Amino acid sequence: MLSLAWAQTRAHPARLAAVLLAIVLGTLFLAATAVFSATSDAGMRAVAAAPLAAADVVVDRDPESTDPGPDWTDMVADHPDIGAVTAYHARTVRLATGERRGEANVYSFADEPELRWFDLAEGVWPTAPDEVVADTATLDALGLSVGDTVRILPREGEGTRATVVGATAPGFQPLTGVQYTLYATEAHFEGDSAFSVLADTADGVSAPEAVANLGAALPEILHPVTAEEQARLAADRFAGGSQQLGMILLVFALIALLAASAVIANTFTILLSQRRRDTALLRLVGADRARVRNLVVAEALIVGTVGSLIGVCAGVGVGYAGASLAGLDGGGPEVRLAALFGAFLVGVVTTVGAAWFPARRAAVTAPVEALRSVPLQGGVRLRPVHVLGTAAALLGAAAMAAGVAEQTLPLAVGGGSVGALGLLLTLRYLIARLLGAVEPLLRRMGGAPELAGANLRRDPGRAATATLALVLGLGLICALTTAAATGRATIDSDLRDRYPVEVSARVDEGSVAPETVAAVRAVNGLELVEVPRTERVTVAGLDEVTLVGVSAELVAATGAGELAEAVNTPVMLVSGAQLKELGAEAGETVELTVDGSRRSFTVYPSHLATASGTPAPVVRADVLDTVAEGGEHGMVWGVAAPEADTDDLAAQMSLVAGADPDIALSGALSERADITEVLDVMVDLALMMLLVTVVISSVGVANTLGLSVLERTRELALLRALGLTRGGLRGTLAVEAVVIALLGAVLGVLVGVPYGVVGVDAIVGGTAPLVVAVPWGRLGLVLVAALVIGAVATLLPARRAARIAPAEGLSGD
Amino acid sequence: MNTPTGQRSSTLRTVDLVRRYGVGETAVTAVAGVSLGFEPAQFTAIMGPSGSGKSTLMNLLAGLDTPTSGSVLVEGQDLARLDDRGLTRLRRERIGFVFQAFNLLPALTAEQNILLPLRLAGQRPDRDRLDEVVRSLRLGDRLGHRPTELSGGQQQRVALARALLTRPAVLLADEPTGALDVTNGRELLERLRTASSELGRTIVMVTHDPVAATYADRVLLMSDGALHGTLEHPTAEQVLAAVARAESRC
Repeated sequence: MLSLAWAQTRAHPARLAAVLLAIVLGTLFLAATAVFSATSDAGMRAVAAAPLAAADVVVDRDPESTDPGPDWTDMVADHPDIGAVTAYHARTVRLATGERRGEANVYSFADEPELRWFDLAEGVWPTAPDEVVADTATLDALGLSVGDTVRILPREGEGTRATVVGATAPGFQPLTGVQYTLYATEAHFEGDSAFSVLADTADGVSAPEAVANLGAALPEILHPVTAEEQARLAADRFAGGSQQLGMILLVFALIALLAASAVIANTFTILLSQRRRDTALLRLVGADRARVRNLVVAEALIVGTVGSLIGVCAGVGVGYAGASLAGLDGGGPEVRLAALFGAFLVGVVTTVGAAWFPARRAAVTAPVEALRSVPLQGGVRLRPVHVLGTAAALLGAAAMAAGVAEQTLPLAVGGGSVGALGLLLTLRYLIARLLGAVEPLLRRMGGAPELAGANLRRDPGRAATATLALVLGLGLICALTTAAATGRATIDSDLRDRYPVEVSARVDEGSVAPETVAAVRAVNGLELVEVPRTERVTVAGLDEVTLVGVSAELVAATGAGELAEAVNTPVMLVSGAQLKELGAEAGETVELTVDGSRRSFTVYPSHLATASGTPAPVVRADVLDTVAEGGEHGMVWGVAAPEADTDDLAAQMSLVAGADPDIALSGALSERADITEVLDVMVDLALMMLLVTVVISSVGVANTLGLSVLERTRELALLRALGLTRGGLRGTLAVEAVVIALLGAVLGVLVGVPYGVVGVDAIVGGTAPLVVAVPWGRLGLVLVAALVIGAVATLLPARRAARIAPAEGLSGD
Repeated sequence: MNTPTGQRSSTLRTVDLVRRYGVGETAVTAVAGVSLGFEPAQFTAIMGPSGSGKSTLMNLLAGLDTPTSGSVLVEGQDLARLDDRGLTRLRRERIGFVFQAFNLLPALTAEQNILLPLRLAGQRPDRDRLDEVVRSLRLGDRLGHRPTELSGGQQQRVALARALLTRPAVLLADEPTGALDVTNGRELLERLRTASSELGRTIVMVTHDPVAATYADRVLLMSDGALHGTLEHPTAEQVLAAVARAESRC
């Protein structure tokens, strides 16, 4: 049996190339995902556990509870079960160089060299509190080298200067890392209460014993655990990110496999219809149905095994390379044989499963067909499953639309799922019907399009399956780009609501430096820059706050309508939290004691009161003048012109911020950058993953055309003999490919765009009003890409077709 | 046993065989009540104009088509009583086929093609038997070749070898010389005659060629789905005349 299948496989290896390629790509993706996840997981675990390697016991303090004071480490050190201790400090600070600034984590390293968990790549260990070690990635990002000085600005208190005296390369860059990383001596954290304490146990005491005894002895807010346990917990927290990424990759790998199975099923269908007479002959000379089916399955098994093997091997390399590129390979290559075997098995099962239905159809070939030479056709008949699918698709679409309109998320998501399932069931039939509808159009065009149309119509089922794989890939791409555009628009609109000003720079005391104000004024794309007067005042019920007095222009530009209202009592905008603290309702007039004197204000909650990043009540400038005298201008606010490019604005503002380390930036821009950056990375990653699916489906289109050329050799030769030029022949094939590709793209857009919108709706989930944005430009690109796919898919088949000699049409078979 | 030819038990027998296609007014009767017996070592040629029902009769004999009424018996076994599996088994073990278009699997070598029915039956090929068949058909040096590398005559001999290897009771041949030149055609017919006379096979051959028909022990003339005469050991002239008469009736 296997030898017969092998003979079939060997006889026309090129015909099975598409199956091989599809399954190689699919399993490669799967295996690469497995290796990438395992490697990055191990890498993250290694890094997370590294600082704890030297300790036996770790004591954490509960960050939610009150600070036990800097001396709490002594409570641990004095315990009889404990030997040496070292305090572990961690601080998040703002870091500024002359040009750049950002958030940095500063960690302590042990004073005792034997407790340090990393080595220096360059320089020396710090000895003074104002010396630090930076990791090389931080130095690269900041454009610094060993010997340079940085400004470190803690959340509270004075900024200090520190000199970078050494560099380290821990060989690991956290994937989620927004921050820069510095390491400093314990003395650097003088006065801080330690984050946790790493301790050795005393001689003869095991770590669990020490933990049990410490637990009894220490106050409740201190949590002792064994270092081993702590390393595991830290690793789990760390690795969570890589597991999520692994899950996302897995989903895309499965999508690629789905496309691969469509290509495989189609290839086998075509091959088997070409071999129909052979199959009938087998039946004639004594093969029963099961035999015929098993023969095809055996062929699929051979190709699937070879392809999966290649895919898995290549996947190991690609997965490790991916982890290396992402800087996540700290733990070395990590290969889980079970996962690879699983990927291999999935590849084989996918191939065999995809070949199963064509094989079953082939098995019912009547033996008598071996005696005929009539060509057979494969149409798509309307079956109950198609009706069911169409009904489900329509119902799902209606539910989805209603769900979005009514803002009922479960309805939208449920409708989407039902719709997707329905589409999967019915799409092939639908495409076949559409191909039938396109045919008259092509016929009217005459010439090559007419011939192409006739051929598409001859076997709409086959063309439909090729199109289906394409719809899958392109549809998902359309969904993703739409989701990205809609997500961005939704975030922008939400941020506009929450941040009435795009740009805010604030200093904690005094006025913003004149140079900085000038720099903000010079930023391109801001239509209004205001330097409001600010005054520290004490409001009963709110403690000390900064009162901001804004001009009428700013009120107009930010749409803070409440301030413009002509009311007898002055209006004060406060944050939502402040309104609650005052125990007032929006629009209520309350008596406030400001700096000792009682005044009436009508209070409203407004995002303008938090525009600077900290709650600062806002009044009109003239009102502020009556409340408090003063000449401080502690803030600069900028309102962007509607057409301004936000990315450009953000870039300009980061330069301003780099030049003045004292200002704190806030406003829509800085938050938007954080969100959209993550969004962009995710979308780009997903698009790259989907390219695999598109490549697989293009192979499917090329294969469909190629095999149909083989099948039509005599017919094409006859056309050539009757006077069709080589160019005309190529044109016919090109039209066929383009029709398939365009149909795939159009359906992809039609299906993908709504799903993209619903997807964003599902994620945003009513926390912000949905703003639908259709990325016409990118969708246009998808159409162009489809045309390119069509053209490329024609290349090989056209070459083969052009080689057909006209005489071949006249000889017998 | 009440057979049309009476005396011996037939290898292959049909009883009031009818095959009608379609229903109502558009119904076409391809085979209209044929009762025949084919004896061991008997070489029968069936002749008739196009559309006379020859091919349908062949398909019915091989169990490839199901009769509307009547029955086909192979070695006393009624084909109507067999399911697909049983029919497959019967074809594999008791019936051999040779066609005009050779019908070899292009992916397999000549030897693999010859051994295919045995393989499908899960039987171990008998090397001596294979050598004997191959030698008698002068295929010894061609066994490793694929069909595309063989001449038409060689391909047809491979098909014949495949048909003979299993020692079938019945050998069905459909225009076996149709695609061959005269020399190769004669040689094939000689071999068919040997197969019946020396090996005792029951051979049924459908042909258009009056010369080919002269190699047979008897010629059955068909038209409109019915038998219209039998010639025993005919000459080419007798066949031609009989065919002309049959055609004039259409």
